[in-house]
Amino acid sequence: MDLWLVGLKGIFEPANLFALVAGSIIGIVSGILPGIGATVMMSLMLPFTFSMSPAAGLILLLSIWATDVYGGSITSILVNVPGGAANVATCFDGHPMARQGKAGVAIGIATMASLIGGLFGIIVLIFASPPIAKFSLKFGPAEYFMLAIMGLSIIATTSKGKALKGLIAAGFGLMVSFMGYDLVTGFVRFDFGLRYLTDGIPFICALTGIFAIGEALVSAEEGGQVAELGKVEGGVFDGFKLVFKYPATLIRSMLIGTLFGTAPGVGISAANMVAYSETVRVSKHPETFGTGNPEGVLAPEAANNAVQGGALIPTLTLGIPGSSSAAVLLAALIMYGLRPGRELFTGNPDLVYKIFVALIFAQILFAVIGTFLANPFAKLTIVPSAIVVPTIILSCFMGSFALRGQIEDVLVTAVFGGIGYMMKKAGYPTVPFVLALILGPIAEKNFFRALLISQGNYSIFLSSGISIGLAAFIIFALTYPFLEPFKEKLKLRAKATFEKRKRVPE
Amino acid sequence: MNAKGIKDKVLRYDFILPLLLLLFIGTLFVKALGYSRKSAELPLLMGGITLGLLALELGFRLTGSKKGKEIKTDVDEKIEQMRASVEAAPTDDPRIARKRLLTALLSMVFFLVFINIIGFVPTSFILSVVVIRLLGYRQHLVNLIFSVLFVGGSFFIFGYLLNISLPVGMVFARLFE
Repeated sequence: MDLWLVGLKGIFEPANLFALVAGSIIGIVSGILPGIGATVMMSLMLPFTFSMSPAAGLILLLSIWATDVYGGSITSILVNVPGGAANVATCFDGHPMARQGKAGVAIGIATMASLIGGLFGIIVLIFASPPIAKFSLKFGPAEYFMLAIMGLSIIATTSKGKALKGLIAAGFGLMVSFMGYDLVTGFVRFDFGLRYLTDGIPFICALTGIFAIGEALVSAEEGGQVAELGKVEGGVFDGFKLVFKYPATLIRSMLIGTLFGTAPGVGISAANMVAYSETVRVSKHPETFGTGNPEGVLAPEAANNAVQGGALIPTLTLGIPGSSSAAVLLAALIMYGLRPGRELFTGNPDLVYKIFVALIFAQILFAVIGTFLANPFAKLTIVPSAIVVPTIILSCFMGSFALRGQIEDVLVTAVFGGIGYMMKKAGYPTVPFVLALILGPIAEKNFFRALLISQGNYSIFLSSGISIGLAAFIIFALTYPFLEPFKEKLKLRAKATFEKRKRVPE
Repeated sequence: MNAKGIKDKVLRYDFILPLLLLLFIGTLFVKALGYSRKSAELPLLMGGITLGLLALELGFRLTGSKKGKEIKTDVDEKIEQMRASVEAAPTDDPRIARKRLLTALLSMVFFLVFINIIGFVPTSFILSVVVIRLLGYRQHLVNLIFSVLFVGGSFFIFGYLLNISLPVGMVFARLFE
C-alpha cells in the first residue's frame, strides 16, 4: 500500500505530471498522424528523455505508448485508414458506423473499450510481474545469455515469410553491437582507426535513425495526404453505454489482448484481428459485421489496449521486448542504467509503482481527451507528409545532437536512417536489428561470465533445467518458420484426400 | 538469363542491401580473425552465421527461388489498400517518388554540412521551408509560419528548457566576436 502511495504522490511531481500529460497528448497525435506510430514517436523522444529523471523519462515514453493505439482508432473510424496494424479491425465496423452518422457513437465505444481493456492489461501486469521477476532470480549468466538469444530468435523469426531476413537483421545488429570497447577484455574492436568509434555506435542514435528517419524517408518517397475527413457528430456518451451491453465480448477480447501481448513479436497486430474474428464467430448474427455492428468496434479496441499491459510483462521482468515499442522502452531502461528483472522491482520499487500509476492515469487521460477533443485531434489526419517529414528529420537530428553535443552523433543517425529506409524497402524487419544492438553487449557479457564460472566449459549453457528449456525454445523458434511450407503442403494434401473421399460414391 | 534480367534483379533494394551487408560483415569478420580469442569468439561465430545466411538470401534472389519470396501479411496489404483508397495525391510516378526521396536525403546532407557553418537556427529554418516546398506543399505562408514556430519552439526547448548549447556556426560566431 505504501508503494502505491509513493507512486501516486510521485505522479503529481511537476516533472512527472508534465511528462504524463505531454506523453498522452503526443501519443494520441502519433496515433492519428499518418506514417507515425508509437515506435517512431518514442524513438524521436528517446534522446530528449536523456536529460530527464528516469521516472519522468519513462513516464513520457510509456504515456506515448499507452495512448498511441487509441489515437489510431480515431483515424480508423473517421477516415477508414488504420493508424497502425493494431487498428485494422476497427475499420471494418467503425467506418461504416461513421458513414451512418454514428461517428460519435463509434468513438464512444472505442474510448470506453480502450479504457477498460487498457486498465485490465495493466492490472494483469501489476499482479503478474512481481512473481515472474522473482522467478528471474534463478537466472545466472548462462541463463541470461540463452534468454537474450531466445528473445532475438523469436523476434527475428516471427514476421511471416521473413524469418531469413529477420535472422540476417539480428546478425547485423549483433555485429554492430560488437564495435568499440570489448566489455570483457577492454580491447577496442572494429573502430577502423576512428576515435569516435572507440565507444562503439551509440544505440540511441542508431535506434532513432532506423525507426524514425527510416520511416520519414519512406513517407517522403510515398508522399500523399488524406483527402477526406469524417466529422465526429454526437453520441459519444451513447457509445460508452453500449460497451456495457456486451460484457462477454469485452471480457473475451481483453483476455485475448493480454495473452497475445505476452508473446514477443506477435501481440499488437494479431490481437485486434483475432478478437474481431472470434467475436464474429461466436455471434448469433455474423452477417451484421462489416456493416456497423458496435461489437465490431468494441472487440478490437478492447484487445489492442489490453495488449500493452501484456507486452510490458516480458519487457520489465525478463528484458525481452514484446514489440518494437517495447524495444525502445528497453533501450530507455538500459540508458538509465536500470536492469529489467528482479533488480528493477526490488532496487527501484518506487519507480516501478510510479510507472504503474502513470499507465493507469494515461488510460484515463486519453479517455477524457478522446471524449471531448476527438474532433480537433482528428483534423491532424490531413497533415500532409510534406510537413511531417522535415519535422521528423529535424527532431531526430536535434535529439541526437542533444545527447553529447557531437555532430558525429547526428551523422550516425542519418546513416542509420538510410539503412532503415533500405531495410524497409528490401523487406527486412528492423526490430531484430535494434534488439540485437541492445541485447548484444548483455549477451556477450553474460556469455563470458558463464564461461568464467565454468572455467571454459561450454556445457554450462545446458546445465540447468531453465537453460535446457530456453535452448529447446530457441531451436523451435529457429526451425518452425522454415517448416511452414511443409505444414501447408500437408494441409493441402489432407484437404485433397478429404475432398476425394467425399466425391467417391459409396 | 539475359543482361536486362540480371540488371533488373541486381538494381533492387532486396539485392543491394544483402550485398552491402555481406561486404560490411565480411570486413568485420576478416578484422576479427586478427583479434585475441576472447575478443573474437562471438564476432566470429555470429559473423560466420550471418554471412552464411546472407549467402543463402543472395542465392535465393539470384535464382529467383520461391523460397526467397517474402509473404506480405494480410494486415500489411489491408493497410496499404485502405491508405491508397483515401489518399489525395498518390505518387505512382516513380520519378516523382525518387525526387521526393532525393529531396529528403539531400536535406539531411545540407543539415550536416551547414550546421557548423551558419548555425542551428538558420540551417533548420532553411531546411524546413525548402523541404516542405520541394515535397509538394504549396501554401507558402503556412509553410513559413510553421517553420518559424517549429524552429523557434525547438530553439526554446533546447536552449532554455534543456540548457543545451546549439551550434552558432562559424559565420555568426565571427560576426558576434
